[in-house]
Amino acid sequence: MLWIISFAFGLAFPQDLDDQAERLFTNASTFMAAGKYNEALADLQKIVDSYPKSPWADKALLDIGGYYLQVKNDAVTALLYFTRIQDQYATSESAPAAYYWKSYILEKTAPNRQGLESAVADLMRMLNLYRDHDWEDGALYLLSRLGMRLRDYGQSLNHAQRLEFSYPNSRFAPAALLQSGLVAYLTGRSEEAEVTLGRLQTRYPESRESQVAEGYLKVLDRFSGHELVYQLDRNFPGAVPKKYKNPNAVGVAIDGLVGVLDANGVHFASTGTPPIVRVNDVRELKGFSVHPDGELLFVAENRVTFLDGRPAFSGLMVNGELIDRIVRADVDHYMRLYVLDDDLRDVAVFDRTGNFKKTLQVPKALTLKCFYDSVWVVPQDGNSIIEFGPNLERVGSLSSGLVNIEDFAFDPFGNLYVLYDKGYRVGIFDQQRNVRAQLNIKNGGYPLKQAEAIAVDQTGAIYLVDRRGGSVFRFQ
Amino acid sequence: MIWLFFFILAQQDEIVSENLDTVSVSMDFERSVSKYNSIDRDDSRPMFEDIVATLEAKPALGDEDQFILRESLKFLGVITYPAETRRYFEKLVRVDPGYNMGAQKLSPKIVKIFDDLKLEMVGQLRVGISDATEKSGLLLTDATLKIDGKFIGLLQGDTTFEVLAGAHKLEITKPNFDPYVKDIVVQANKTTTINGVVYRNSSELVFMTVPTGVKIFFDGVGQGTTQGSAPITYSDSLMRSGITPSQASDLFAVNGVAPGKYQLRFEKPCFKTKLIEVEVTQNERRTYQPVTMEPVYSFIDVATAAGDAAGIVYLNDERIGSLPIKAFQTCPGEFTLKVQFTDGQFIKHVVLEEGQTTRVSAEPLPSIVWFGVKEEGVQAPDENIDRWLKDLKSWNVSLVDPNNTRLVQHDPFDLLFNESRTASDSALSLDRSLNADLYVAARVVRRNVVIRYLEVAFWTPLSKKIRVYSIDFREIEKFKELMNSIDGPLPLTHSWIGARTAKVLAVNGVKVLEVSPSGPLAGLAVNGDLITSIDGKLINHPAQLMSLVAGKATNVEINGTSVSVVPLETIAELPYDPASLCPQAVVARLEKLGKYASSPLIKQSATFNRARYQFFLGDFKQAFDTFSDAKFRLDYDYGINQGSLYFYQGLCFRRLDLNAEARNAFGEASKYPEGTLFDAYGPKVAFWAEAQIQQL
Repeated sequence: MLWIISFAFGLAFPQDLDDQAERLFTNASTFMAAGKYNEALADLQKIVDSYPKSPWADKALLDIGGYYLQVKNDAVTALLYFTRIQDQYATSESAPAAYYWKSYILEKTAPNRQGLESAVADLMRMLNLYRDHDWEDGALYLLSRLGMRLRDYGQSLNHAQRLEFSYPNSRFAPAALLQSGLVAYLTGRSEEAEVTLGRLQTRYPESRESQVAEGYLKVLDRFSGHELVYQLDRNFPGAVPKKYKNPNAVGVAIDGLVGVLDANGVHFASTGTPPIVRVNDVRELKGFSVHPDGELLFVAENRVTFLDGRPAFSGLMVNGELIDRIVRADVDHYMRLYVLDDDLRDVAVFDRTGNFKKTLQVPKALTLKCFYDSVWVVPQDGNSIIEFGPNLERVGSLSSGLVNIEDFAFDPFGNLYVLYDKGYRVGIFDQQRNVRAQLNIKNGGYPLKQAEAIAVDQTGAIYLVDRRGGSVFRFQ
Repeated sequence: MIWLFFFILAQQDEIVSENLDTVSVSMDFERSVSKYNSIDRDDSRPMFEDIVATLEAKPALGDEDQFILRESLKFLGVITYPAETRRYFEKLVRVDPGYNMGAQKLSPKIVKIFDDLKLEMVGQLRVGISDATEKSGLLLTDATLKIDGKFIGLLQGDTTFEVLAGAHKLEITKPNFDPYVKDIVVQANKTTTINGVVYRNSSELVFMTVPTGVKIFFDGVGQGTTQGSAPITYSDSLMRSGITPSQASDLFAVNGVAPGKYQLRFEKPCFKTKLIEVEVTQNERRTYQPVTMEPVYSFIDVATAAGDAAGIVYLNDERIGSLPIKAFQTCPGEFTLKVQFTDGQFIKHVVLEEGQTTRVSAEPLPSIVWFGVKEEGVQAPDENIDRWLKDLKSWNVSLVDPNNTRLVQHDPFDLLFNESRTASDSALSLDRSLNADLYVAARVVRRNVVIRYLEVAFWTPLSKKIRVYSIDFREIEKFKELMNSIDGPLPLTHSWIGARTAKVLAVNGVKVLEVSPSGPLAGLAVNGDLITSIDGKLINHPAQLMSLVAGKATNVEINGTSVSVVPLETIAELPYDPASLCPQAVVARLEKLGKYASSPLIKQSATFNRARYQFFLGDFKQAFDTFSDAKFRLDYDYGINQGSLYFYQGLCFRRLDLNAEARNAFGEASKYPEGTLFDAYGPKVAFWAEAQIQQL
């Protein structure tokens, strides 16, 4: 009887509705695979609007969210769709995926600890609510990563262990092991760090992380000896007299790309393909910073940009005044920007969207650098480095006989390399801030006597800028 | 339409004509004889005439054809009596001048017509041929006589043949002799006598073998196999050698042997191959002493690593006894050894060497019951999925009809495709009647409007969990890959050199991070050393150490000094990856290996890994029973050891919400500082156990 009524009034059976939704979904998948995003989005949106009770509605929302995240790079809009799945389709197949992607976005965009903690809570809820799905390994990796960022190292290791134990073939497993190596070192167990990285190399020899581990192990190898030894790398392209004209800054990306700034502009010392660089006026450039993802950034007088010219931060204002005499800047892992400005004469902190938050109250600070969620600032006297924690609170300082600090840098394990004594010396401190080495450049038989700036790469190699000699030297 | 009908008809005619061979002539002849013996005898005439016409048209006739032709002509002569009898009998005599009608139950009048005709048409040819070099003048036997190129018969000394009267060309041939050729005239009802000599042109080597059935090779070329039994004339000489004539073969001649040196090889299964060197200096017939073959034996021992397991042993399907088999004597060669256990079969191809004892440790293969693919309105994929199952080497596969109510009391598709993906009591009763290690069924579903899927369910009675794989028809080969993966070798052990190493950037070789005090490198390397080469091959990555062969001495260069190291074989965890390796199938295979593997280490690893897989499948109770079994111990100072078992015990307790017990188990695990997970290169179990304790 029902079918007669349905037929008479042009109503469709639920099964018919599902079939129509399914056809739309199949079409959308085809369009998506062919790069016809507008057509795909139209079909997906129609499923969401017209067939919200079909088993395809949650999948459509997931695909739309995925589109905004991965194609449009619009995490904010993507988050709306993933949240809608969580709220309206909590028992659907897509729910674990929505939890994962939502936490993934939060991990990338969280402005502070609370954001990261919210991601942890979401992932824990997901692991408790859902069993037997394809997203558990990704969730465990994110939890491990979040644990490290929140300095909850026990949780970080625990989740990495669960991932390695339950999903040894997961694509996240090598990254989790690499991270576990870092965590082991950060918790003072350098031998465990070495063993973990060795296990990464043994079990996942073909992975990218296995190669990265070689560099990390180089750092650990160096610090495991009684004496830190560095040798000049004569093959480094910058190690040529007068190669540059008055170089004054050096920066190293996570992939090893070395940027050098001199009076003529920007130069790169790298064996790979040189990056595409767009700079309007090289005279505006003041130095380099490194994005949390590892990309090199330009610090200009009034902005921070990617190498291809895309702005990372611009139009920065403090109390209604435009900031346009930046001399130093760096970003932390929350993508907060720390700026030293000649007019402001203090360290200004901006959130990831460029809104001014506060100043750190370090008048006439000389320079600054970020490591994970902390920022380190050299005050006016140049004789110490002050550490600010994740909540921008002052947590300590390092002096240890340091005078006239010129510049400093961190390696991936948080070991600190300080160029001091007006650039005549380099002090190296381990993660516990014990002095591990002091290099006397002036009297050390090196090709330079005084350095202008310092950088350290992922393998712990030190880069020193010789302004007078027109060179940049690498020591490894 | 009509043209199609004729086309088909024409095609059929063509097929019939092509099939007109001896068989159809023979059937026609039988029908004709039947008709001849009926009251409609006259109707058989055209039938016989057709047969005669057919056979006369053939270029050459075999023995059966010749018989049918002769008999058909005889019947035609009888049927057409008296008018055409003579005509048909004339043909008959021409076909076979030696044909004799006297013994047949025919009218004497008809027989007389035939006999009279023979007197008019046929004469006798008496032939005797001797070897020109044989002084005794003994007549040759077994020489071939041809008249006008047509085979007539074999000469047995002085032999008489019936031949059509007239002029003929006579030819006598015999191996090793020049042919004897002569033009002759045979007169009707008269005897023509031919006595001639032939000249030997090559040698004839004559052998007799004891026993019979021996293959003879002349300079490597097969000549044939000896047969029959010895001629009576050799009885006395054989008896004097203690051989009865029935033990020896008939004479076997190797003909056409020119002067020279040769090697003869005599082969027979279960006997030692014999070689004889001969030298022929002149053309002659040389008869050798009987070649007596010496019997040889091989022996087979069949046992199983599970000493008390009962099994019936078959060699090439012949039952040779029950396990254990000790020194079973058989002849050397290739055999199929089968052992039927109560819970599976073991099948192996074995080569038994002469005089050697082959020892086989039999392990039963797990069994699969395959219920096939169920179609419900949606057609199954075209691929031969049954074949994929049958091709499995590590399994005994039974194809069971799901509708066979005698064997299958419950619909297996209902049982294996239930929504809870958990085996029900009915499934257990199914197992009681079929008693297999793994049950597999497939069904076709249309999950999408346009895309068909094959759902394949796997269940082993060793787990409650049923796994269903959903495979898109367009990627149906994935099912084949899945089946191949459960058929391949399971890496249950791993070699271990006894040190953890790492590759450090810009350092040649690998850096030693830790040396196990119980491992092969103990005392040979310390932390910080550099391993730079293995067996002379430069090493630059720790993964290269994973590929060393356990038990094989290896030269390892440490800090420039070469030392010999023997890597150990250690237990390895089998990665749990349900997407590519069906865990239910793995559990079934490991169960058998754990009971029957010949290597104790493989047995331990199989049992350990089976419990691990049960743990991952959620069968915590079953897994726990193994991990905590007092009889199952892994008493090693390294790698997967007792500490690893405690660790898994702890995990089981955690899953069963028994946290205090879990804490104790992890506490025990942490007492094994050298115990590891995954394999001997894996993480330290003590460290991971402590992390677990912190979570509790």
